[in-house]
Amino acid sequence: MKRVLIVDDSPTMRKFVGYVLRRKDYATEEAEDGLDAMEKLSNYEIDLVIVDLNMPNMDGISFVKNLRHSYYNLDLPVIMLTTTSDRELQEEAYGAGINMFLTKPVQPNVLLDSVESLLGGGA
Amino acid sequence: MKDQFLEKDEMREIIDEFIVEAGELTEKAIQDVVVIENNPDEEMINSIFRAVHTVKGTSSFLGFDALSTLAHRAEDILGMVRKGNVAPDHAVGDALLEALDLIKTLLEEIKESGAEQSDTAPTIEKLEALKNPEKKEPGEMCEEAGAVKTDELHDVSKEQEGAPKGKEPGEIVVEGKGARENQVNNLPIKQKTQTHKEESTIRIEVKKLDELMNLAGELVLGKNRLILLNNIVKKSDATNNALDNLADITNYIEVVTNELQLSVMRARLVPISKLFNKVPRLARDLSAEFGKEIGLTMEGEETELDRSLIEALHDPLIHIIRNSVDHGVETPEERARKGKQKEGTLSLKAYNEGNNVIIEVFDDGKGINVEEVKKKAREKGILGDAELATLPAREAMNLVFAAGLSTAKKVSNISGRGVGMDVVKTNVEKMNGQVSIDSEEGKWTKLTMRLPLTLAIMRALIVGVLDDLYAIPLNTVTELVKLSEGLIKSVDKKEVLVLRDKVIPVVDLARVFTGEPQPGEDKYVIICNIGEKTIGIKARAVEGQEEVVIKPLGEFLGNVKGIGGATIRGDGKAILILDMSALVSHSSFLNAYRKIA
Repeated sequence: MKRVLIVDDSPTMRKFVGYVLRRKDYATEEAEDGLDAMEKLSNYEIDLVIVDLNMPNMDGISFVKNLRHSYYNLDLPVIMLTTTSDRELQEEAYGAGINMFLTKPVQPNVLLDSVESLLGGGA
Repeated sequence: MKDQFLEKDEMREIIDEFIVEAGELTEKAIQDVVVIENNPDEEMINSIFRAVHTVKGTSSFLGFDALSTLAHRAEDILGMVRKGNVAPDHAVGDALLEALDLIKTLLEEIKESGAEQSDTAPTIEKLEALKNPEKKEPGEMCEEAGAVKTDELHDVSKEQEGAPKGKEPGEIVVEGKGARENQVNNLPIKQKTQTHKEESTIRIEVKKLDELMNLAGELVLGKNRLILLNNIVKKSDATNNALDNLADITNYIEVVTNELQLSVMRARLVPISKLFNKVPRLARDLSAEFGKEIGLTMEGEETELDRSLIEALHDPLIHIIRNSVDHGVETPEERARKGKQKEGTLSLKAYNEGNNVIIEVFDDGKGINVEEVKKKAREKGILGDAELATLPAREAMNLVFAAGLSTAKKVSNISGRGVGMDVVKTNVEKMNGQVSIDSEEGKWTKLTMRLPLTLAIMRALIVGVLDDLYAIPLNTVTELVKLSEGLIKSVDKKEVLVLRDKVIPVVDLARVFTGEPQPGEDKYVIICNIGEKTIGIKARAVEGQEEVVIKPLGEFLGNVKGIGGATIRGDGKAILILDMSALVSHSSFLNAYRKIA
């Protein structure tokens, strides 16, 4: 079973994304900001990360930069899911090393398709 | 689409989560907005921005459009504040607070009816109006304030261009002595970042905790019965081996039960900051309303208290603060005349003292006029001339808590709503707490509330009065005096006990409860301290200390003066718990009561 880490400071968003993923039999872990996510990554076997942009302590872009510093996480797929559609921020995020950029509100099937395409094959 | 994808109850759960989350974010943002008005802290502005941003994002995604549009507009303003394009002044604060209040209202509406109802247009208009103020540089603001002349400013601009480290215009103005430092101080200063400690918590329904607390309480009763049984059995047969085992188990259960009860009690404790956090906003609004200038300080916000107490304290505390701002602190002009600092001080302090939590509310306003209070008490027939003449000043001040005594000369729309300090006293006493006031006329007033950590369980001294047993809250008991002949004297037809040169009024419970003196010999006087007062209670027997689980008397019996509740003892019998504050007022205002009765 593939395990997805959901990083968002809003419990509502984490809950929503969690429901959608578990419906397709993905396992989920949750983190409330970038720092928390780094910790979860060292404690769990994670196959994909969905990360918000604007968060306290460590925001999404800093998190991805930190993540890509580590050799082990170079290939870990990362989807950024955020309310902003700002072009510059999008480019900055891709520059930091995300694999896909999605804008909230996201349709469940769009989210699932994206996760599936990055993981290559189902859960 | 998303509705089809997710089950209805899943959607409901997400919306519930959203209401709780957005509500907490908004509440926190309201507190922070009040802070940044005076102290534009960068991290705090960011955190308000994030809060509003999250509310906007989640609400739009859940289809709450009015809410999301409103949050969006507020976010725009906050974005401008963050970039330094708009100063977080009073006008901005007002508009943001209005928006945040409205967000709370909308959330309430979603919770109640599932849909937004309030009109957001007027608030959005206010926010929009703030968006296009003329952009002002700090230097320009100095100029407007008359601190520097325009040509001086031009020099400064040049100097800034040439300055090596890119000094701020304000800085240069100060260095050149064109403006005094405090004139520039209202420009944003970066203050030390206040870090908010994140607590690692989970949410539990209060109902579940109450159930746990009830069960722990029942277990305490069971434990008491077991101890009693153990004692009885031991007396009847001291040689049996199996009995040692029973003693062991009893011991074990006792320890575990005590620990369990403590843990459950702690789980219900909430930091008092939950309550104190609301005060800055309140002080801000009240100062504006009454034209006062108030500096607020708070201490001990981390002090913990049972959550039901926090809720019950809300109204009394608000009333006390309103009183302080309205009747305590003088207007800036009046303060200037008296040679006081123009800005009044209001300070809140909370701390632990033994098993109690103390909350103090202090203001450096005009204090209490004791003669005025006495005059009022005489007019309202609360006390007679004789009592008033001998009443110590400290006790006279505390007459402000007596029902029907309001010393404020002018009735204001808040403090004069017909509820006074007597309501504060009643509410605090309902929590088994005590309240007292101290003051120096013309200088300050300090109100002190003393509250138990929890409402549910307490230690009590079990005493015999007439043929029945009663429980006295142990935190009020200071000592036991064994009676011998002549110890109790009579002064003014009232019984007193002279203990180490102190005269202590004695309450004869048998007489209080039956209305007439009862034959029989009292063997003890229990000395109790309640607030500033000491009284003695006559008892025929003293059974010992016991942990009692407080049960309310129920609607049928309701409020019996002098009785705070009931408890069940180890032998299964119910006994009454004395309400000490009521007894104290009984002893001290005995005559007044007689007049009424």
